[in-house]
Amino acid sequence: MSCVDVREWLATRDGPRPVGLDEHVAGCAGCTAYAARTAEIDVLARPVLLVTPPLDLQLRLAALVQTQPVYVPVAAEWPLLGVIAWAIAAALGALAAWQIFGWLQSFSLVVGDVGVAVQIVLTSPAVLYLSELQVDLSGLVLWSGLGLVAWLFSPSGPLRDVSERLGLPA
Amino acid sequence: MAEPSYELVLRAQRGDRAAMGALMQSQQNYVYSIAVSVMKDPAEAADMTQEAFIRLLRSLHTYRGETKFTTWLYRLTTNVCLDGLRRRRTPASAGGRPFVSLDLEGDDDEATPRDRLVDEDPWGRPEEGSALRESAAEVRRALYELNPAQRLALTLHYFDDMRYEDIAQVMGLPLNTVKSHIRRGKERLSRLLVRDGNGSTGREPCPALT
Repeated sequence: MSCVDVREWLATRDGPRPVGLDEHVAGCAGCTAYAARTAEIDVLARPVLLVTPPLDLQLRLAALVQTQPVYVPVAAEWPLLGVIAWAIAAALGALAAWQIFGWLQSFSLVVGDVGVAVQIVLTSPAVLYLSELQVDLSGLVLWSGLGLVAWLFSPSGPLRDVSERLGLPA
Repeated sequence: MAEPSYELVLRAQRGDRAAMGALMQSQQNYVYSIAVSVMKDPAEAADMTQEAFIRLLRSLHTYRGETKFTTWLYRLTTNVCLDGLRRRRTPASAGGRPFVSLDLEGDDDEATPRDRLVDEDPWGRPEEGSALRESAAEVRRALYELNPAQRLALTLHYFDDMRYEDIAQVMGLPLNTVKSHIRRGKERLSRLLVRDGNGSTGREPCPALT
């Protein structure tokens, strides 16, 4: 082992003690001094670097727990709801695909032929359904706006500080 | 460093204030040590510790367990302290005070160990074998002479059970850079504790050597 390798290990003590290290240190005055000095530095530096917070800070931290608002991950508490939501989303996706492409008989794989693809879509039941769909635009805007405002004041929204001050439920 | 149990973290995430209190109490020494190490000023370190725990309470629900909890918390604390140092660097407050390096890569102007060994081996010199100044105040002063990256790496290195991989994650540095900071930090500390900042020895020279 070289002095560089020996000192690298002596300073970091990372991994198992290398074979031949002790023999090298025993026969090398520089590495013997290095080993003694790094051990001494550990003893001196550790208690200075690892410090206990002053009492007033400890009291401030204890008070934080009682005064700070708590954010609870709703999704983590309701894993079953998440599974149900994904199942509903998957079912809706399948239904949408079925409506767009029509019955399975009318479905044919189209690669690169845009004309045929457009023709299939135009003859699917979805077009008929969408053309007769009545969209309640005012209702859509109202509920979207309400959702947006709720998000702004939610724990992940930009106005969460305001909701904290007002004491709104998280 | 005691890694809190998974159950304790989970209870705290679910809003159990007693669990949060226990979690904070188990970590306050380590968080404060990191803050003192980076800030060097106990009053500022106390503010940064409080700020770090406020951020912890706000973002605890975002912890997903991809890393150890302590690694995540110490990384958060380090970022809070680096933000604090950046604020300190503003021109209004920096008058008369030397700028602090925010780069955790640290100064890399020292020769590599192999280079130094080729030129000379300082560990063979008589003063390197002499006793060190051992008072806590002197050790603290010497530690404050190290660059922030070396000091932070050493601090984390002295946390029990902290692996080098964890330290690298906390500091956002490659593993070998972290090891280099620790080795150089100890070597510099040794030189500083033998001699003062002006290069003269901190002790009376041995009559036999003069």
